[in-house]
Amino acid sequence: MKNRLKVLRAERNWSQAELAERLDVSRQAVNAIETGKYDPSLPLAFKIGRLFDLAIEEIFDDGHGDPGNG
Amino acid sequence: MTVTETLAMDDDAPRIGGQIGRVLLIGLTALLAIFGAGVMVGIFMAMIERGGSFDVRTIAILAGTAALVALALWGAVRTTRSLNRAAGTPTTRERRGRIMMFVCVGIGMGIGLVLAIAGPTPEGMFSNAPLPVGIALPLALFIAVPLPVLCYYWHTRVADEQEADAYRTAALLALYAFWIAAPAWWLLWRGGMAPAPDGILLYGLTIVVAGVGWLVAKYR
Repeated sequence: MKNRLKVLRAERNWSQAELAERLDVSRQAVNAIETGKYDPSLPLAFKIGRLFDLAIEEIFDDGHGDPGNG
Repeated sequence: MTVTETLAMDDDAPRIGGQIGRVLLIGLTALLAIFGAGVMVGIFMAMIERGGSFDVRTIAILAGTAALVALALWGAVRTTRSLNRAAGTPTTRERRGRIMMFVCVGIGMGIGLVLAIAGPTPEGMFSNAPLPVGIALPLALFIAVPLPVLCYYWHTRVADEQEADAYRTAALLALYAFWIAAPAWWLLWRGGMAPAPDGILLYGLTIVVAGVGWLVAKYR
């Protein structure tokens, strides 16, 4: 699943470690999500959405929507 | 720092996802050091039981094994440092994980050394020979009592959901490995083509399959 996590993180000047700490996951998890190798659970996706103050579909794209346009 | 600079910083850093080789090397060198230490203790104990005389050949074997252990430990420490440098600042969960790893390696080394000392055969810790109750029972309790507590802590406070996912993949692979290997071996034994199934070897197989599965699933 594609996502904008890396760009959103960079916009806030957060390293992978900083984002991982805020989400209470490992850096490996952030890396795996950013590179599309791991799809987060719904609770973690909501947590990410709340952290960036965005809806889930504004961050993640399952290939059937238009990410970034809500 | 601009967005581009932040992205470039991450792109320049060695990818955590490409660290399988280094993690594997750390595991292998740590195992080599533990087994080497066990072999040394076993040789010492055998020599003491035979009157305490050390010939030149035994001293040479001990020196060679000691050098191998030292080399393995040096390799493990060096690779761990290299991995840490590449990965940057660890998060709270990762720090907990490292402490847990040290605790588990310590327990493993303790069990390995006791088995090497108690093992009456050249195979030492890998022998199936009988053990005195005074050694077998404390060792079994040493595994059975703290391990569930450590596992509970690991899966609730250390592993995050991505790692939990890797564990599920690893557990499934290990389960299938056991489901396939155990009956196949049992049938081969009944057909007179293999020795009797060995529970500890099957246990070792599931550990190896689960370990490789976890490593690939977590660090791919």
